[in-house]
Amino acid sequence: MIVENQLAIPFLQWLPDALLAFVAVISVLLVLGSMVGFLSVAFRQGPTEAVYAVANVLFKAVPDVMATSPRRTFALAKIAFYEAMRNKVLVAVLIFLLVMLFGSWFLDSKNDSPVVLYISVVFGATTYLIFLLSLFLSVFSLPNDIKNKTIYTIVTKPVRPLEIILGRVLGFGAIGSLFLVLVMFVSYAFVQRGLTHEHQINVDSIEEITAQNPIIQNGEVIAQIGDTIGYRGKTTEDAHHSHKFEIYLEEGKGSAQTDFKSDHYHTVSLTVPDDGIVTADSFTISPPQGMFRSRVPVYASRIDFLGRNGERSVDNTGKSVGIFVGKEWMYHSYIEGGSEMAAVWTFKDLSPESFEETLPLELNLSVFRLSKGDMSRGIAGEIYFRKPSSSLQVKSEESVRVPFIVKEFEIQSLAVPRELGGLDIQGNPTENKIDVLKDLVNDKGEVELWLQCTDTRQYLGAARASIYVRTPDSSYFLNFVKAYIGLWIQMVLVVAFGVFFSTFLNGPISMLTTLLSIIIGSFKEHIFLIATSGREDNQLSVGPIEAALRVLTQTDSKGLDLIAADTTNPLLVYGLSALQWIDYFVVLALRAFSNLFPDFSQLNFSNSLTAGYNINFYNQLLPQLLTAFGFVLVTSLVSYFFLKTKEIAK
Amino acid sequence: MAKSETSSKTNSKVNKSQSNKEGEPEEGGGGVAVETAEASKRDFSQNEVVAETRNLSKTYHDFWGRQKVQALKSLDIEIRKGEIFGLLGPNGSGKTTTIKLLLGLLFPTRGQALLFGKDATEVKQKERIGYLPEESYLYKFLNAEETLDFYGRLFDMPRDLRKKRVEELITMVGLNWAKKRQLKEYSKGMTRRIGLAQALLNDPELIILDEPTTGLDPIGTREMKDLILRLRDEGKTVLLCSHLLADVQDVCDRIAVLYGGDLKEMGRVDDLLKVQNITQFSTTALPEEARTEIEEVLKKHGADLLTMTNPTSTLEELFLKIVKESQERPGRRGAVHK
Ligand SMILES: Nc1ncnc2c1ncn2[C@@H]1O[C@H](COP(=O)(O)OP(=O)(O)O)[C@@H](O)[C@H]1O
Ligand SMILES: [Mg+2]
Repeated sequence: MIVENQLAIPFLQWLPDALLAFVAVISVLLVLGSMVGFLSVAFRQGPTEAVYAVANVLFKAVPDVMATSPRRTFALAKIAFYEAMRNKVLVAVLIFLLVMLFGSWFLDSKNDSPVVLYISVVFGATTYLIFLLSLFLSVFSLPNDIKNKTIYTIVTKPVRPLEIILGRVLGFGAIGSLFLVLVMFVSYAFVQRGLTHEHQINVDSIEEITAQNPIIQNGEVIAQIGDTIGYRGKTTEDAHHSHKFEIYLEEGKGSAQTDFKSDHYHTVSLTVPDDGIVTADSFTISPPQGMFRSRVPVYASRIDFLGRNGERSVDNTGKSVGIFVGKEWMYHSYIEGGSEMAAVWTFKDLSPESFEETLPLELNLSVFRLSKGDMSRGIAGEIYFRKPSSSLQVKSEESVRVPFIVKEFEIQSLAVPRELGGLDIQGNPTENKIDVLKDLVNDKGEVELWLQCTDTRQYLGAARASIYVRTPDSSYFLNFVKAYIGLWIQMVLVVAFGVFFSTFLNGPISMLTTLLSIIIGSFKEHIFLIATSGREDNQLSVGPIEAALRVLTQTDSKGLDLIAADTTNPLLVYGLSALQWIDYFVVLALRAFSNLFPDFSQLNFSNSLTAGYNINFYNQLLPQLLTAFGFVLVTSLVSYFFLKTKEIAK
Repeated sequence: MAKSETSSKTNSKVNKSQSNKEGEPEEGGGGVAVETAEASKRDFSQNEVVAETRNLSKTYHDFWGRQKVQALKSLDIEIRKGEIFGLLGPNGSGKTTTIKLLLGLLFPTRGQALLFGKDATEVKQKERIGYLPEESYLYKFLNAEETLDFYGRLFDMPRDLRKKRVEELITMVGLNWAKKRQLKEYSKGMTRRIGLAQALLNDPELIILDEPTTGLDPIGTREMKDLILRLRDEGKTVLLCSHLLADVQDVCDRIAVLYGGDLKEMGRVDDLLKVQNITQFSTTALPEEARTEIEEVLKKHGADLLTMTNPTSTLEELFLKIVKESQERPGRRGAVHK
C-alpha cells in the first residue's frame, strides 16, 4: 500500500509559504471586509459616514483585541462547556456512540485485512460523531443566546466580542477534546481486543519433517536421511483463519513464525519432551504479532532518473522522470531493464549510530512487463550505493551491486549489510570492505542509492517514497494518539467555523453553511481539479472559458492561444486574449476561494495506521496544527467584526 | 431657588422612606443627599451629564430592509449625576428601545446615544454601568452564587474581590437562604433580585433598570423602590423605565413621558404635577367648626370649595391627558419643562 502523504513537505520548507498564504488571506479579508462595510454604510448614510464608520471599527479593533482578558474568556468558556454538558444533543450522541461501539464489537473479522476494517470503522464512526457533536454545539449556541436574550446581560458587561467567540471555541473545544480522549481509549481497547485471538495446535495436522539429505554441521553429521529434524502443522481455525508453521529443531527445541495472514503472524515454539513424544502441549503459540506496526521510514530527500544513455532525464517542467508506461497516473516513473536507466535516491543525514550491521530498506516498487518472461520468478533488480559526485554522470566511489528479486504489491524488506565490497573511482575493487554510511557519504551528509533493472524488456516503476530506510518502529499507541490529534484538529475547525457562521446567521443556516464548508474542505482537491479542467499539475493555464471552448469545438488541443493564432482579425485576437485574462483571474479566484476552507482530507491519518506507518509529527502534524490555528485565528477575527457590527437586540 | 420652600407630596414621601433608615451615615454623594424638608427638593441641573441622547431616533426594519416601526423619534434627554430619571410611557412607546440604544444593544438610525460623554457602544463604559433587563436573562442552570461569580469574572474582578462582592450582594438582595439553588427553581421575585444583584456587582455609577417593579408584589415593589432611593443616596445615578405610574411618581426626580416614540413631557415630577390654580387640602380629624371656618375664609377671598376628598393620582391624570392629546394631535407636544 502506498501512503503518499507520507511525503509531506518538510516543516521548514512549508512554513514560509504557509506564513505568506496566511498574511495574504488576512490582507484580502481585511480589504474585502472594509469594502463590504463601506458599501453597506454608504448605501444608507453616504460615503463620508461610511469612511468614518469603517475607520472607527478598524481602529478600535486593535485596543479591543488587545484588551482580551483571559479571566473573561475562560468564564465564557466555562459557561459554554456547562451549557453543552447539559445539552441533550451530547447525551444523544453519547448513547449513539455506545450503541455503535457495542454493535460493532461483533465486527466480523472474516476479512483479509481486519486491521483496515477495524481502524476504518473506528475512525469513520468517530469522525461522524465528532463532526455532529461539534457542529450542533457550535452553531446553535450564539443564536440561542441571542434568542433567549441571555446575551444581553453579557454584552452589557465589559466583554469584548472576541472573548465571546474565543470563549465558545475554547468551551466547545474542551468538550470535543474530552469526548475524543474518551473515544480514543475506548476505540484503542476495542481494536486491540477485537483483533486479538488465540490459536491452539491442530493436532491432526502435525507432521514430522525428515531430512532428505544428511545434514552436516562443522564437519559432523548431525542428521541422517529420514531423521526427524522438525515439525510442520497448522493451528486451529480461530477468528476465521488458521496459520501454517514449520519448526526446525535444534537440541530438542525450536521456534518459528507462522505464515502471514489477516495482517499478522504468531510465533510457535516447540520443546520436545524427554520421552520424545510431541503432543499439542509441547507447543506454545504467541498472541498475534506484526498487526500493529508503526514503521518509521526515512525517505530520500530527492529522486532522479537516468535515461537510456545514462543522462539525467527530465520532463518539460524540469522534473526528473523516467519513462511513462501509460499505466496508472504519474505516481511511478519507470526505468527499463538491461539499459543504463536508473533511479537514484539521495538520502541525507543517515547517522551511522542509528543502525547496526545492516541498513534495513523497504521497497515498494511497481513492475511493468513488456514480455511475459518467467512470471513466477519475478523481475530482477539490483541496488548499490554511491558517493554523490558533482553530477550523476561523473564517476565516484561506489559499493558492489546487491541483486534482488522484486516482489510486487507488497512492502518488501531488504536488509543490506552496511559493509559491502567497494569500487574506487576507476571502478577497481577496493582492498577492504567499505561502510556505506561512512565511506560513501559526502561532506553534505548525502549518500546515493541506485536502482537498476536487470531483466531486459521489463520495467521497474519507482517514486521517491518507493524506497526508504526503516528505522526502529515507534509506539503504535502513540501513533494512534497522533491519528486522533488529526481528528481533534478537524473538531476544532468545525467548532471555529460553526461559531463563525453563527455570528451572522441563525442556527440552522449556520449549520448548513458549516456543513457545506466541511464538504468543500474535504473535496477541495477534486473541486479544484474540475475548476481547472482536470489538470493534475494545478497549472493555472486552462480556465473554465477555455475548457468550455474545447468542449464546444470538440478539439482537445485547440485552446484560445491556437485559435488566436489562426486569425488576423484584431478584434478576435484581443477578445480572445481578454477571455484568457478572465480565465486566469477566475482560476486565481477559485484557488483563493479554495484556500478559505481547511483541507479535511489531509487530516485523516487512519491510512497511516492501517498501513502501519508512523505519523511524522514535524512534517505531518505540526503543519496541520499550525494551519488549524491560523484558521481559528482568522475565523475568530472575522467573527469579531461580525459581532462588533451586529445589533444584538434586533 | 424659590421652589425649595414648597414641599411637594412626592418629595415628602421620599423623605419618609429615607427616614426609615435613619442613623445610617450619609454617603459622600457630592452633597446630593439632603435630609431636611426644606432642601428636599433636589436640583441636579448643575451636575455633570452621565447619559445623554441627542436627536436619537430608531427605526426598526424588517428582513428586506423595509421600514417597519419608528420606535423612537428625535429623543433629546440628559440624565445628570445623582438623579433618578424615569422614562414613562405606555407599552410600546419606545422606553426599552431607548435603554437598548443607551446600552449599545441597538445602533441608532439617527442621532447619538452617549454614556459619560462617549459613544454608548464603547466597551469600556460598561465597567461603570449596571443593567437590569426587563426580564432576567440569566443562565437558568447556574445557582445564585455561580451566577454572580460568572458576572464578576466578566468584570475581570480578581478572586477575592469577587467572593466578597458575591457574598455582599446575595445578602443585600436577601437570597442567602437560596444561594445554592439553581435559578430555574426561582420565583419571579427571586429572579428579579438576583438580576438586580448582578447589575450592582461592579458598584456602578449609572444603573439602568428596565421595568424594575413589573411582576413584583406590593412588598417586593416597596423594597425595590427603597433600594432605588438608597442607591441614589449613595450618589449613584438611576435611569429607570416603567409603565407603572406609581413607581415613577414615588421615586423619580425627573421624568420623561414617551408616547409612540415621541417625547411628550419632560421635567421634575413635582413641576409636572403641580396644577397652578387648584389647591388641595388634606387634614386629619378636622372638626366640623374648622371646616365651616375654612369655607368662610375661602369665600372671603372669592374662591369656591370644590372638593375636600382624597386627592387622586395626578400623574395618572397627566398621563391619560397626554395619551388623549396625542391621539387627537399626533406629534411632539408643545412645552417640555426642564
Ligand atoms: N426588534 C424589534 N423589531 C421591530 N419592532 C420592534 C422591535 N422591538 C420593539 N419594536 C417596536 O418598537 C416600539 C417600541 O418598543 P419598546 O421600546 O419595546 O416599547 P416599551 O419598552 O416602551 O414598551 C413598539 O412598537 C415595538 O413593537
Ligand atoms: Mg419595554
